[in-house]
Amino acid sequence: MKNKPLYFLMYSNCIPVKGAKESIICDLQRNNVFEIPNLLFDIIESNKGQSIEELKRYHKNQYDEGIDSYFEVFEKEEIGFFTNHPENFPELTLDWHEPKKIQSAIIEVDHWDSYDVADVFKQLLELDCTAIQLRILSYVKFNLIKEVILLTQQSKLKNIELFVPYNENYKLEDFENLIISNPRVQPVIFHSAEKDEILTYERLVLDKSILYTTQKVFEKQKDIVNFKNFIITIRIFSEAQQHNIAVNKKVCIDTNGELKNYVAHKKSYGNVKHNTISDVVSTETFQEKWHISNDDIKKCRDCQFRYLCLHNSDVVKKDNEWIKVDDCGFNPYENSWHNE
Amino acid sequence: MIVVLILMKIHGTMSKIAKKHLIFSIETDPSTDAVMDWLHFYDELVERKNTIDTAKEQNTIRLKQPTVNYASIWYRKVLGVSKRERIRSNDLSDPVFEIHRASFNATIKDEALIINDFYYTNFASEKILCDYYNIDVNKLTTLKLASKLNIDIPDTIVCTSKEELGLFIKNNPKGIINKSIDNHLFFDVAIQGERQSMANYTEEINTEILESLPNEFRPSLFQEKLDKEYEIRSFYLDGSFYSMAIFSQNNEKTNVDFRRYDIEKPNRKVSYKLPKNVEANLDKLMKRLQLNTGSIDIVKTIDGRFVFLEVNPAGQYGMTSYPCNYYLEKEIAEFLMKVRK
Repeated sequence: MKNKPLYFLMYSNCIPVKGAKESIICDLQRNNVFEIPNLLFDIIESNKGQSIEELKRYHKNQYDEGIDSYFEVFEKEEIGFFTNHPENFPELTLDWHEPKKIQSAIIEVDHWDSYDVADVFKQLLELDCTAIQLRILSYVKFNLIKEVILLTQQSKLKNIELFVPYNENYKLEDFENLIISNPRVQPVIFHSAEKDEILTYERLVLDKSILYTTQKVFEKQKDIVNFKNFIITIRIFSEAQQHNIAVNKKVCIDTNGELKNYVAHKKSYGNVKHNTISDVVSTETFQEKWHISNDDIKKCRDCQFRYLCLHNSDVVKKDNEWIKVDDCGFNPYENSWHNE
Repeated sequence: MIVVLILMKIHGTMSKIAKKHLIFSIETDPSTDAVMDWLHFYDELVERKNTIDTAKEQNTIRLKQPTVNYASIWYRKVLGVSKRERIRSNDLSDPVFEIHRASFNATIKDEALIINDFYYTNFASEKILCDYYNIDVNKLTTLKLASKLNIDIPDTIVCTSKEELGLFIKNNPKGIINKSIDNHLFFDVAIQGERQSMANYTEEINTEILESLPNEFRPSLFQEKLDKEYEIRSFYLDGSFYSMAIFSQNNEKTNVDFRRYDIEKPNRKVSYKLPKNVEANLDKLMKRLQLNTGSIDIVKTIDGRFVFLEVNPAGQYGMTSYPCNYYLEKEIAEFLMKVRK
């Protein structure tokens, strides 16, 4: 090209998000995050609909050199490009739709007979649930686990994550056969083990694995928020615009059969011993917190990670404002982590 | 009065119960699964026939059986698309037949096609997505028709001699490429004991390759090489375009054909809006081809041309839907449900 194009655009799946102290660019295609100063965020925002020359004039030609060098870096990093035809490049739509009534479920079991686990599975499959995490805290016979896994054959369920406590009575071979004949089971995790180890089984489509971890899985466990746990995808980012992605379209059953938004939350909306899951999750009260996005929550709304973060703390209203009950370990006003 | 109203209501519900959506597909097509999820979400009834089922059903066809009526039919994937691989060369071991093997096979293939065509069109609906008869598009006819409708196409030649090809290269100083005339071919071969996948990717023809060619060869298609700014994949559904730009030029590896995927730094794929006149002409083309859906390939050149390459009626739209967040599966489900005016 002879003449430098007049416009600079960010690729529409590279979206800047401003925080109180620092901003980020979320690369939703390559699942990456670039940290940028807030001034640069403001420049990118004001660049919308303007040519590079107009942008420079808009900033009273104070930042000409900075603008040129940043745009060059962006081009090199492939998060933006020069063009003469900005009209052909609409912004990414951040619509979010989900045809399933329930996307995911966590089932926590301590004593196998404290509620009917098989029936819970059947009910979730009825609801077209996509993913189930089964957290078994204390030893149960392999056959009981296998029985509920077999219920999922011929269902729309796509994935079962299986946590079982490490126990000498278990035969590894049984679990190997289980994951190979039931492709939905992935992975199997032996928690409270004496070692950390990953066994991988090569399969035609997706490799399968059995993991051993010394970490324990205990009742009502809370997740740790960490930069590494952020999921940077269009799907999550767009869902987070209007929803609390940690609980949206999710149902959790704790060790007593209580139906909750998340196992660690205090609030129960019913119990599988007396209520059907479908009845409970269809209520407005159960769904209320699905729709409280980080933009509605104090502190979170000032955080640059608000559309990536899966922090599943409960939220409560205090002084007419939603706040998270638990601290996530990040302070957006200082741009610092204090949980590490 | 009240009685009539109640009767109508019952009739309305009954016809809904009776009518299902029919989808022809294959067992492993996530795009079909996703559309079915949406149809179920809207409480619609769906019958899915995978190629494994349709092959079985073709074993017995009784003409006096009534044709089944469906709310809609979607020919997502049919056996007919891969007609050639379906008909295997027959086992005619008797030497008497050996000399006529070719004509036997041709007849068997023709008959199988007649059965196949009959089978797939023996289902009735007012609403059909990607009609069976229009699935197989002729690349050359389509390009010629596009050109007539003022759609820019690449300079294209089908020839059989090195001499003609030499002249074509001279006329196109920016270079030429070789492309398949019909479908892409994928097969596995053993190279030194290791399984390797081979495919006929689009390839640039330079003078070195030209020299290595025999004087005469099978009819082959050559096109001018386009100076790409980016490629455009546009999913067409019932008059609407859902387009995506693919910036493959940044990356040397995918310069000629972007299907040579680069996993680590995938090509940028972003939502795109085609100019209005380009959309209007492509809409005319799709209507002339009697296609209400398809994936259209276009190249935007550095000097500003929008060059049409081809349309694939049963294309993989998932590769456009997810990167651009278009929810095409939802759009398709809603199209199938829309009552025809």
